[in-house]
Amino acid sequence: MMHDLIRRTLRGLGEHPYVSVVSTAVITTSLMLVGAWALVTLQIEVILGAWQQDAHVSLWLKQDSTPEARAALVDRVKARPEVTEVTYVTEVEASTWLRAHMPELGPALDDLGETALPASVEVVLGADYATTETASSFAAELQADPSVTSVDHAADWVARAQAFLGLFRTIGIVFGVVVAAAALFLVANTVHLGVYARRDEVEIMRLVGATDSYIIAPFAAEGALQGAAGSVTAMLLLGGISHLLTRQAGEVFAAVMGQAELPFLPGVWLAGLTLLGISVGAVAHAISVYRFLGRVP
Amino acid sequence: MIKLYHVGKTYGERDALRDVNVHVERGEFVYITGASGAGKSTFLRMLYGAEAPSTGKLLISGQNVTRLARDRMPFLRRNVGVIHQDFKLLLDRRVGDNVALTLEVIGAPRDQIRRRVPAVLNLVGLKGREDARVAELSGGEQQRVAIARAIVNDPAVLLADEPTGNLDGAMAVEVMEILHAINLRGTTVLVATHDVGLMERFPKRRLRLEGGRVLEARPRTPGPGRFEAGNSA
Ligand SMILES: Nc1ncnc2c1ncn2[C@@H]1O[C@H](COP(=O)(O)OP(=O)(O)OP(=O)(O)O)[C@@H](O)[C@H]1O
Ligand SMILES: [Mg+2]
Repeated sequence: MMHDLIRRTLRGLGEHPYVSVVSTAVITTSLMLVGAWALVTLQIEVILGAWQQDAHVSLWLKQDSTPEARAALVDRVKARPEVTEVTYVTEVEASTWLRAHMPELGPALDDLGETALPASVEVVLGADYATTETASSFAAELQADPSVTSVDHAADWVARAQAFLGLFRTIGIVFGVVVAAAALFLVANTVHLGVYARRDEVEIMRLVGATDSYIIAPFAAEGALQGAAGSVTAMLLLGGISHLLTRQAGEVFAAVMGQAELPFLPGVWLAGLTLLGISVGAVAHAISVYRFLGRVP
Repeated sequence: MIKLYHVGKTYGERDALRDVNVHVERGEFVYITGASGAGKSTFLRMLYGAEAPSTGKLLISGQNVTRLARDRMPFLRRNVGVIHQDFKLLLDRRVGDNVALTLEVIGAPRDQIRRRVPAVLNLVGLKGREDARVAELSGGEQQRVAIARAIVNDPAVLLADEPTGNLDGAMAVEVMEILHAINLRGTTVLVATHDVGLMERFPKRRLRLEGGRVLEARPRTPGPGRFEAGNSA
């Protein structure tokens, strides 16, 4: 039976290669869309994770605060248990840093004088304290200090970004379902051409006493093969694109994410995409043949 | 074997068959005759479930075909070989593949298929032609491939719709001889034809369709069909 099914499947593929190529391409395209969404979600998660770990708080200092007051502030901050690192950045240092990184701003900075940028105290919180709540309460407390104008910390907008990521994931799942349904529809219609090309065979098999499932089986197997080929192609293409992006813009990723190499989809996702491709291929074929069989006496 | 009770078939307003009552015994050979459009094909199509009767009841081997669920239909068809007016062969496949199909769909083992296909091709006079492509065969040869495919699994009933319609005289006689030989092995055979010459040459029970009704044109052949001449009343 199995041998017979393999033989019939291969014959179908061999007799109508055009239809196979088209439905494999449709499956590939759909899976690339789903895969690309998954990949973007993954990158955002990595970026947010990096930012969350790096619980950085900037205390912007009043321009008229005295050096003594500033030194006292630095000492006070250093004494806190949550703090692992404190750096005092003067107005001049801030300007120098900006000048070095963006030389084209030089003339503008010259016009504004030495105090173009405010001085700041850059604080890094220990990993144990790097939660949104700790960072927020720490920031609120120091906001009260007379030498401080304002406090920036990543935590509150990491929280906002996480809320956004949750939304993005939900949208993505809806989008994934829509893409899968569209793929199913497109593949079913493409496959329809293939079934139509083999309508005589289907009709004759039914006339000599083949059951519906016997007729459907090789079509479904063919669809599963196309689905597998489509998912592997989609993943290779996505991997290639991701690699090219890294080569082109590795420095940007290194700056934003703390790593130059973009992480690729984890194994579970790759297995899931392959399974999705195989199911879409098999189900689309089965539906298409089944619909056709309904019209065969 | 085959029993029709008050069977009618309507296409829209038009009656193709009306109140047909026919019994065919196991092993009989029966001609279905009548003018073009009389309903010969419709009659046969109902017997293999390609058409459902509009009214009445139809039994084959005690099975009520009228009420057969779609998923039971294949099992009826495995017992009813059909030779179609237009052959319905896969032209780009080999002769052997076409004949083997009937056995493949019932899951027959490979070695049985390898034995049965050449044997049945031998029976229809196509010995050693397994590997020829059907498209390269003459009409008469294709007709025999269709016969071989219909009988390779030894069905209880063989239905033939105008099996000699596209053949010249000598070829038609050969095909009729094959059908009679199959009948002699015990298969019930129904042949739709309007070739009076052939029916006279191989006289058998005739059912004539006219105005949608069946007229028994000759009395029944007693017992299993043998084709001795002059069994007409
Ligand atoms: N699918 C259909 N839809 C509508 N009418 C049909 C259909 N099939 C057959 N008929 C009608 O039923 C009648 C019987 O047709 P059928 O094909 O059974 O005749 P026949 O005796 O086989 O003719 P022929 O000798 O030309 O093959 C005809 O009038 C035909 O037009
Ligand atoms: Mg006809």
